[in-house]
Amino acid sequence: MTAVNGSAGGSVPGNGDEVVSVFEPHSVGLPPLGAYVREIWERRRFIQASARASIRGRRSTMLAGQAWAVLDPLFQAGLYWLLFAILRGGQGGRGTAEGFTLLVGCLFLFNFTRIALTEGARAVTSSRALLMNSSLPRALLPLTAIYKGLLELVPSALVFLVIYFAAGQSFGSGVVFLPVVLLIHTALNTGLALIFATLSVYIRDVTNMLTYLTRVLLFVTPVLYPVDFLTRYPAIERVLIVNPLFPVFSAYQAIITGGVPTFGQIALSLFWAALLLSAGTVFFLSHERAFALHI
Amino acid sequence: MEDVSASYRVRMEARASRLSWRSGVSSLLGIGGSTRLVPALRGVSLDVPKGAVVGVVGRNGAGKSTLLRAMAGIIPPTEGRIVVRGQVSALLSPAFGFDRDLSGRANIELGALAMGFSDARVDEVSDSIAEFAQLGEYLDLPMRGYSSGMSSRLGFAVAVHLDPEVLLIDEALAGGDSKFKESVEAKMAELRGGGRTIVMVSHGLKALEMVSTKCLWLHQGKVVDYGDPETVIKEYRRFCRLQDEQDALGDD
Repeated sequence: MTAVNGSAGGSVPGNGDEVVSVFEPHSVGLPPLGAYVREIWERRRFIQASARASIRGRRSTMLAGQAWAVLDPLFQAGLYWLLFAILRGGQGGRGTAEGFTLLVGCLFLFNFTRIALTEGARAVTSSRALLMNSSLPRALLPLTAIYKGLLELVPSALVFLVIYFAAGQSFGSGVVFLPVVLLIHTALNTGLALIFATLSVYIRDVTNMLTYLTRVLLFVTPVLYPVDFLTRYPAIERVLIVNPLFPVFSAYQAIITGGVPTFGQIALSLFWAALLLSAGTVFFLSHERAFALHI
Repeated sequence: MEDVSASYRVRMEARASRLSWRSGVSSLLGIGGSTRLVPALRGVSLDVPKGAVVGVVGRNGAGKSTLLRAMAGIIPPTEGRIVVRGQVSALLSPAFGFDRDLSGRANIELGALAMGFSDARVDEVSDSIAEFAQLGEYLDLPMRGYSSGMSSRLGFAVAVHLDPEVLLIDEALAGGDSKFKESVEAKMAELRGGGRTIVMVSHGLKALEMVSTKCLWLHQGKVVDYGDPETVIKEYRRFCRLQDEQDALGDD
């Protein structure tokens, strides 16, 4: 077992199993990445257990208890249906079911990003007691928020699939890309969570600002509208395409509507995910040793 | 060799907790120059041999807790270097717990998992922790309903059962009723016998004098004395008396 190390040195190899930790001033830079990743990996069960416990704990005081895992997305879907019906002005006809399933699917997937942003940002600042009393690798906290987002996605996906098939829709061959896009989406969310977790340690106002940021993101990402809706407004599309979530959700939409995501969508998603994840990792890891001084 | 020794040469400045926009942004960018620095430890150097029980004494604000946090790797030193050999477990605050909405048992499990324990070992240690903490049915109730004594009992139980080679304890003997104090003392004796290195902060001078093999006296972030517990504590007591008398004179 290795110890949590300072940003400076990392483990000095000791004799046998001996753990030697060296703590030096924090301005020196990044901790050794390999050792850090290993420490996180050794504690992966902690991420799972603490994400599960926090979801269970929150629902344990509710009357319907764990049934909320399914009730939540069900009610959300109902609400979106209402929204959708109003948007369409009560018109039925062709495309209604497709439009609705697209809306529900995208909103459930957007929920993952919302959880990553809001819970990720609070992950460090809300764990003051833990931070001051234990030296566990701090990245475990935002990673727990990501895992929580993934866990919440499972019952949502079930509700979505029931609606999807009930509406008589079916996936095309593009569905094989779904795991890839979800993986890219997860990496992107992790990057965002790491960035905002660090920012909010130094500037508390960030957690407050995020309420608005997630709302803006919801509108500039193809969630509430089909992406080809924008072809009518090329000027707007040129601006919105800069949004890192844009290619990911375009790919999702292609899959949900039975199509295949384009190479460009996948490549651009991958670019944003790689950029945000590496930026977030460097940003978080180079500051995490100082968190205890600022929190 | 499983030796646990630590040499410290720390010069630390802990930042004041109040933040302003400017200090937040500037510390984020790594540009220093903030005048809010509060030095908690100034050029502390000491060596703790393996198996030693070091009692740390000093008035409030002497830097005792900061010293323990630096040893645990929680607060980085601003200068100097800390080398710790061995797995560290720290009990720095009586408010143990990851999530107070969860049961004591769930918190114990999270604590063990955070140390990187395997599932089998987690089950093993949580049983012995549960037994030691003697919380009975409360163990499966959310921790927010615990009394502070119950929390600190659980905290102590977790810290000592995670099988550390180096144990850091801040004011652990303060909480708990007399019955629990007895089991704490028994456990501490067992740990000392097992060759573990223990660094403990306490205002209970009599207890410290009994259990320590060495004693460290900190004052305003500096080491006043470090050595034989009897001598150091005697000196510290005299200093406290003198200071109290001076304060009394000043009041007149």
